[in-house]
Amino acid sequence: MLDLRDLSVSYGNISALKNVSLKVEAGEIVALIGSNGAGKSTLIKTCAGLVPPSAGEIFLNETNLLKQAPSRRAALGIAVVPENRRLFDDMSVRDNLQLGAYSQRAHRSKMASDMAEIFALFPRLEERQNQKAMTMSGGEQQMLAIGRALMSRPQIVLMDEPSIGLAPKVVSQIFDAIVQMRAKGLTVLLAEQNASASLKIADRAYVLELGRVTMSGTAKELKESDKVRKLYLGGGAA
Amino acid sequence: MTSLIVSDLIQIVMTTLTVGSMYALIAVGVSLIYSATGVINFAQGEFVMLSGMTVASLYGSMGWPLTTAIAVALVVVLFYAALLTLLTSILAARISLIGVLIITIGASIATQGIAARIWDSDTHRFAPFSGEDPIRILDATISPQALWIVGVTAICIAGLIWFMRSTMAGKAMRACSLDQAAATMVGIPVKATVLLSFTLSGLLGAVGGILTTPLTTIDANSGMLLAIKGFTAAMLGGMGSIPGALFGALLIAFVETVTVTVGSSAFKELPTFTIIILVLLFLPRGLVGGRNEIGLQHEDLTRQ
Ligand SMILES: Nc1ncnc2c1ncn2[C@@H]1O[C@H](COP(=O)(O)OP(=O)(O)O)[C@@H](O)[C@H]1O
Ligand SMILES: [Mg+2]
Repeated sequence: MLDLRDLSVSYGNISALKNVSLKVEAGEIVALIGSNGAGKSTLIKTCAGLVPPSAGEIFLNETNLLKQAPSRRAALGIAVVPENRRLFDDMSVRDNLQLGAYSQRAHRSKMASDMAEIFALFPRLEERQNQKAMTMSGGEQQMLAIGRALMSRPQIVLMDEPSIGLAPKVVSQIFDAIVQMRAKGLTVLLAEQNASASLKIADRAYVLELGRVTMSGTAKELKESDKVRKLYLGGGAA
Repeated sequence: MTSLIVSDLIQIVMTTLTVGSMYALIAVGVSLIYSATGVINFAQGEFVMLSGMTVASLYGSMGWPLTTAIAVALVVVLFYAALLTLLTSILAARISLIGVLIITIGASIATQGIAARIWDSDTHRFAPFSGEDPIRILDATISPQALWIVGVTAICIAGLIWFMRSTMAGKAMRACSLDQAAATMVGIPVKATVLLSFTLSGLLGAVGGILTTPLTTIDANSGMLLAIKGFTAAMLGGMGSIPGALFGALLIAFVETVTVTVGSSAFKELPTFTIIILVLLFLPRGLVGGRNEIGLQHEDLTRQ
């Protein structure tokens, strides 16, 4: 579904991604694990077209994404839950969800049922649909960011640290929702520092360190690897 | 005696509404472009001038039907708005927002010069839509054109607010002004949205020129002062807020009208410049509070 080939990105002379190759197959949840500054956000922003790569290619199915204007990519089936959520703060929950469907505005009739599906996934959003996005709690805002991404009827959602700053209970609520979404056929790339939570729900994972992929494998393999345990799961032997 | 005071009040209210409508059309336009781009467009008054001059020559002098003249004026203004969009978007990618602001002042001056060449430097007007006979209420006299101005402005601004709150295109414009990157990620074409904001601003200015020229006359150099009034009103109300711009415009028109009524028309421009200085110093977010915490987007001019 999503295929990154030898992707390199730099900001001026800071190199943020170095020859990163990564694949996400249809129906998978793939975790992208890395600490602060590893390059997770850069990878997602590059897929969204907000940052130009210096080398490499990105394919969504057969489409060369780098040849598509950034604002065209939502319509092609790629949705983003950006770092820090980036909601339209001053607008209502409902408006945020509607804008999520901007790329689908030709199929207006589906908007109501899509929104109902999102409300079923996150009932809190339905209760607060007329409230301004910025007045909601962190967890609710994250749910809204995910809901907004789903409104574009994406094939794949790229999520940038959805668990950040949230209480463990809220994190598991949100990750449960991600599993439910996958059950309905969605594909997810989940960038996270929170390795333990994300490896629980992921099928496969990549470890990103200083802009390079240093490990990859099934979530089970990575959970059992000494290095991941030591660096990302905060533990020694088990 | 009382009827005299009542008449004065009616006169002041009507003048405030009429003048305030003109300022509001410009202020809302300035605010719209600022929201979409962060640019303060000081060429905003040229929309008014171009439309007023076009209708004055086609309808006033050459005797074309009014509707045809208006249609041509709108086309002229839309073309001009598209040119300004192109100019400011090309520049905004390369120079600072303050730089673009100065370019819009340059564009305004250039437009004045070109207009003075195409037409001349004289004042122009054309016949009011519903004749010249004033309507009398007690001792107050109201020009029927003033009712046109207030009515059409109210409809335009109400329509714009409805558009921004209730249509997908309007919401997309607001989304762009809140967060361009997030807007791009949901598929909103930011450049098209910027063009739309210039187009709507241009139309508002054009409506202003077409409505007010019969009452206030117009000349090639009318635009700049109007732009400053609109900018002041938008700042006073809170840059980026449409209701704020409307409110600021009415307040400035009121202070101006009272100044002229109780003082002298020699002091007419004094309130605007006093207000702009006070607002910039003490109320950078304006009365209603625009979208930015610190008022105008702050740029560190010392850092190069
Ligand atoms: N806009 C930027 N300008 C310069 N350097 C940046 C910018 N954004 C990120 N970086 C640098 O790129 C590297 C990767 O950052 P990022 O992709 O945000 O990592 P992560 O999301 O994994 O924390 C870091 O060294 C960071 O400092
Ligand atoms: Mg990040």
